[in-house]
Amino acid sequence: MATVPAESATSGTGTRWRFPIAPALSLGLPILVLIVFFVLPIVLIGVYSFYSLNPDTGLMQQDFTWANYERALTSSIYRNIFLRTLKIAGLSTAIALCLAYPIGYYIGAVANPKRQGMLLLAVLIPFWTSYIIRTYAWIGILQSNGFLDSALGWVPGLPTDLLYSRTALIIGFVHVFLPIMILPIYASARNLDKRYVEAAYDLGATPFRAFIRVILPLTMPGIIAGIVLFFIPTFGSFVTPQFLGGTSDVMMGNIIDNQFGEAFNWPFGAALSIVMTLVVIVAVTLFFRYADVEEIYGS
Amino acid sequence: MAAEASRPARRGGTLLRIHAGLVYVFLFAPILVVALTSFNPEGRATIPTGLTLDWYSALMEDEQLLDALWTSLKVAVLTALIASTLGLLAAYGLSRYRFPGRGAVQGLFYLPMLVPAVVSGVALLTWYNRIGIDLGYVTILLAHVIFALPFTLTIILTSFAGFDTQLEEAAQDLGATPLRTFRYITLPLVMPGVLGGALIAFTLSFDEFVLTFFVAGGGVQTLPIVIYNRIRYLLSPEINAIATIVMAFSIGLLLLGTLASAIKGRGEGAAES
Repeated sequence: MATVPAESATSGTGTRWRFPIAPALSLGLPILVLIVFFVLPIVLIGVYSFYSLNPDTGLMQQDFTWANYERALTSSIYRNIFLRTLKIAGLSTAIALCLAYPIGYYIGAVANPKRQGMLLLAVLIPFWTSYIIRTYAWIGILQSNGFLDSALGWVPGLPTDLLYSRTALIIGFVHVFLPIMILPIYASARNLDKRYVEAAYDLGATPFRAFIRVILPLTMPGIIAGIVLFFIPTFGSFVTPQFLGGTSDVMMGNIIDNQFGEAFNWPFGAALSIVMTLVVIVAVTLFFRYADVEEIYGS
Repeated sequence: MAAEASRPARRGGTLLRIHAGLVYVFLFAPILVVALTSFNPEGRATIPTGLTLDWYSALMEDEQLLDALWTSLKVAVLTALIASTLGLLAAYGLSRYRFPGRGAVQGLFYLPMLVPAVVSGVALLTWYNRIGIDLGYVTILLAHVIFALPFTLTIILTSFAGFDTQLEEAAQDLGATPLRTFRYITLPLVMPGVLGGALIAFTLSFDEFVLTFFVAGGGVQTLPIVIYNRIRYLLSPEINAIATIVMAFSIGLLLLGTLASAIKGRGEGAAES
């Protein structure tokens, strides 16, 4: 419904009264803040990504070289990290979708409408709990002699000592970002016109067929938004791999952090950042060609 | 609404309900484990054999954590004020005017959501370094405002959308100046959205870690930063205690916000009927 104002501004009857200050006056300050403290910083690392390090002093110097990009994309170490990051983020997203879709659909389309608010609130509570704290919680649960061991250690064959593994990393991602995937799926399930589903059943569709042919396409915008919202922070994460992942699960975010922290190679870190941003923007653009963001968030 | 007009197809409802229950367990278990551990005499996540408040009393003497908590609260309040003000200005401009490039401007405001936080963090770090702002309160605050603005704006835009512009026209016809119209008609009508936006900005700022990690510098430490450092370098059981307090506080705030909007919704519903 956030799309309404622009339309309603013109659909008024006759001559419409307007607040007689230019849009610039109200929009000017927020735009300025955004440009100076967000757009220009991104442009700056774009510029830095073409700089080089002075071989003698190790300091950054003005230059125009593609070397940083070449290293980021062709060196086998960084290419592997890049592919691994894609793989871990993709796998986490797929697992999260399997968990998020049924519950989002349940809250939006199946549960008693009177209880929707409460069910949704229960999804939001973990979301509004600190990311760091929730990641930290998994350390305590998964470490050897941790909570899982002490609670279920007596069950034979149950994996213990999961901390610092790929499994732990993916559990952490799925847990931390699951709520932001559930929300848009819930929204599209709630807006789903149930008459179409009824019609499919009336015409003799099996539940599976009704799902594939009717429910799934109609809730696709929510699925796409959920995937995008989950994928971006997972792909860019560096805290979760640090806390939960093993030494072989270093992700791109860790490498960027490292270039600006210990390695102190800003041009290379900048090039990696630009690559990461481009990947996200390309992925998001591809996804959003099939969905309308405002339709999901306006409601 | 449409959901009630036709009964939803409830096939597979039982399976969906079981699935939802399990997902809720998954979402809440870690939070409950932290809360449980904060009372565990062992100071680590196990099935507790007793209960203690030792970690809470240790927390009361932990200057670093308490200072960080205070810093986070200050930053979050200022972020809420600034982000909701900027959000109000932007929402007003976007919903009251039509101008070329309006879509692009709106897109610009959502841009911070699209860029991975680690990239925004290093970009801000290099930018502050370049233009010569010392890292500290100001740099943290600016980062938090940018981060919170898309969320705040979305909420405020929604309240502008459900708003009868005839009231503004009436005030104008009765001779109110534009500023008075804004102050006495527009602002009160969109206030719930502004407050909701401020609440979101507060919560986002209070929990924000990645941007702060890059732009905080050595001098100022917010709570997530201190907790991060403790987790990395020295595990201290007081973390569970402060985490439990913070979670209780966040949940309380969320419930309060929901309650307020529920009461408001009921009031509006009554007025309509």
